[in-house]
Amino acid sequence: MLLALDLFYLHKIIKMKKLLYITTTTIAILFIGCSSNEGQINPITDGYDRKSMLVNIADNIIIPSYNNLDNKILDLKTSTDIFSQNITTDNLYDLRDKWLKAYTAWQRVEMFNIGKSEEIFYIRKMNTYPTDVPRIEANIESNSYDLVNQSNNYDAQGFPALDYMLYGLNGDSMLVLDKYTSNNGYKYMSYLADLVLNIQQNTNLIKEYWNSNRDAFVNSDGNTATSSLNLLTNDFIYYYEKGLRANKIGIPAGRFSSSILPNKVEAYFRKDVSKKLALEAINACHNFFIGKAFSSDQTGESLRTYINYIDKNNTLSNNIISKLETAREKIETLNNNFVEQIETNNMEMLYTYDAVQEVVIELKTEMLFSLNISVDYIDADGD
Amino acid sequence: MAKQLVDALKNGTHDLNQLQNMWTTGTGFADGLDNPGKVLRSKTSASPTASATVQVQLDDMLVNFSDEVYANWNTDAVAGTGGEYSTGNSGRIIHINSKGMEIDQCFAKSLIGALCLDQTVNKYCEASYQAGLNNVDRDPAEDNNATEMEHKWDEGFGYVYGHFGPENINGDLSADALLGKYLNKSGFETEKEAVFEAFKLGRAAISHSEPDAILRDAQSVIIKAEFSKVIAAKAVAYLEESADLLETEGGFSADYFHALSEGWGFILSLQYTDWYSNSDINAMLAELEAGDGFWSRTATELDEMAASIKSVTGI
Repeated sequence: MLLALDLFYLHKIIKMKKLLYITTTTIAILFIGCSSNEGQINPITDGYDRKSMLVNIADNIIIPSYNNLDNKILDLKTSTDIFSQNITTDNLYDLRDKWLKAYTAWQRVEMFNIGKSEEIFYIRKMNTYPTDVPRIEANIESNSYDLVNQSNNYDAQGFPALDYMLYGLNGDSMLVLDKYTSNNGYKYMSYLADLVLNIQQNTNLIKEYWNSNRDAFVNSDGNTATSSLNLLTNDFIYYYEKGLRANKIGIPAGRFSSSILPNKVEAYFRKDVSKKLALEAINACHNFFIGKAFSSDQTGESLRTYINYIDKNNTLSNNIISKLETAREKIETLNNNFVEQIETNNMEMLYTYDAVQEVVIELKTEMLFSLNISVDYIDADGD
Repeated sequence: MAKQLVDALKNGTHDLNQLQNMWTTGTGFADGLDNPGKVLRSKTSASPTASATVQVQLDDMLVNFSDEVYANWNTDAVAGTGGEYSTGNSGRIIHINSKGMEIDQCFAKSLIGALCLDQTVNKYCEASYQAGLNNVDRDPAEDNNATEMEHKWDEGFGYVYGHFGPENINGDLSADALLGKYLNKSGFETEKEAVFEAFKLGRAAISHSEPDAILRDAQSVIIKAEFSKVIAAKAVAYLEESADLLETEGGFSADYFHALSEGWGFILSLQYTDWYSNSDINAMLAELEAGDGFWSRTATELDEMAASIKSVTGI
């Protein structure tokens, strides 16, 4: 066996280009009938009450968070209506305020992508950035576009598109109002209203989904690729890796490219709330991990309690919480304005990235292994 | 590819744009080596546990080279000003920056850890990465009929035993400029043997009719441990050699700057072992660069740093 391996590797060293394999009979034996149990889930009944965790997450976190978002969107809608009736600076400022409150509320729910959310590409429609400015302008000009079924419009709607409509028009947030009062203003107002309407309608669909599917969700308490906990955990890790780590920090800081990409920060046109949104996001991740209720300080069954149950100690979960805290503190040290941070001292963004990344390792390797849950996505690095 | 970039730094043949092209786009190489699919920078310090800041450190090194070394290629270097330097008994001629750092050496030795070691032991052969790979499907038209798991293990192998870049058709370790070269040097026979055996055994564990992940992962641990020893040993050796040169030559020789530059790179590489974090290493590098950098170091300082590494790593 080992002699064959020696020959095998000796030939490999000699023909390094394509790593050609010598097909001798001996070597061939190595390749016949390979099978692997890796990647299969062995359903283990570990005795943990998964349903209790699902109930806590659904009733105390997911549903209240969507309700909160829905309320903030309602305020946003009202403010948009007022602005459309009366195009004034004050009304624009109020609209901007409502946008930020809704965007902040959004940070609590982006980690969930269950059922209807996945089906209608809810997250893509709500928060794809950078927003596609030429596309938005083309939509406005033509007044003929489909924000529901046309995937090319995912990056021409949602909160990032609103960011442009409220801060980016005319290339200057001080000149935005002029766009709405100009001859073409009614076109811009129409698109603005349409964006808000879609945000509201999409969110309504998610709310309805949870109203009717909450029971099915909490009752799906097994450990298969389609069980609630597996979907929930995978969504959470994917969000942490992609939505938080890559989108908010890594991509703009140039981690996945050969240069910095400051135009890819969240809330690019408003500019000075990127940090606020990132903090809200990591707080949401922390709260989800410890099972803290949306509207109180009470914690319940969660990934943390599940890990502690399996491990019979708190080492891993404390490690995760500690690293989340370190990452949060790092984010705190950054400039409110990530564009400025990246352009004046990007190393701090990269050190922040490192701190955020450390949690990924714990979640993806240690935690998933401990809970015997498989990853269901390929990778969540840059786009 | 890495070799060509390092040679460009050593010989002063390319300006900053050209260097950056080689580093970031995989183009600008001579002799048809261009390959936009193989970008050095994107593979450097790129594993899940590697710091995102090292790529930028190396970016900055190229800029520093251009500003302080390339711009002063033919003038004499002194403390605080880069240029050419050849003082000392050996007659070696080198080019250093304002802190006495020979950039091609710093860069090349940094890649040993940040590129070769990191990609091999922290990515391709690493347990959790391997665990996520398919070891069932084969396509004769892809990767020579290897499974994904086999192929990735082989990529790790390739970072050591092959040039990073186009074919090294002789497979000669001695022609490699990076990790393989050091593995092949005298004094590392044990490690060289252990690593090769571990690669083979790990590969067999993957390809066997009953694949053995535990055995594979055990080999992965061995590979990392053995390579880590090589890197730690070289870091210590270059620090001690530099200290000796200060004492024997009674001043700053070209050999001293050369040796300490190599040591700098091996120290940077230590962050990819399990002994040191990115911030640990940056603290050590900052000590070496304090004041006028290598012009300001004493034999005592260097020996103490070497002793500290020996103590931490058990070398």
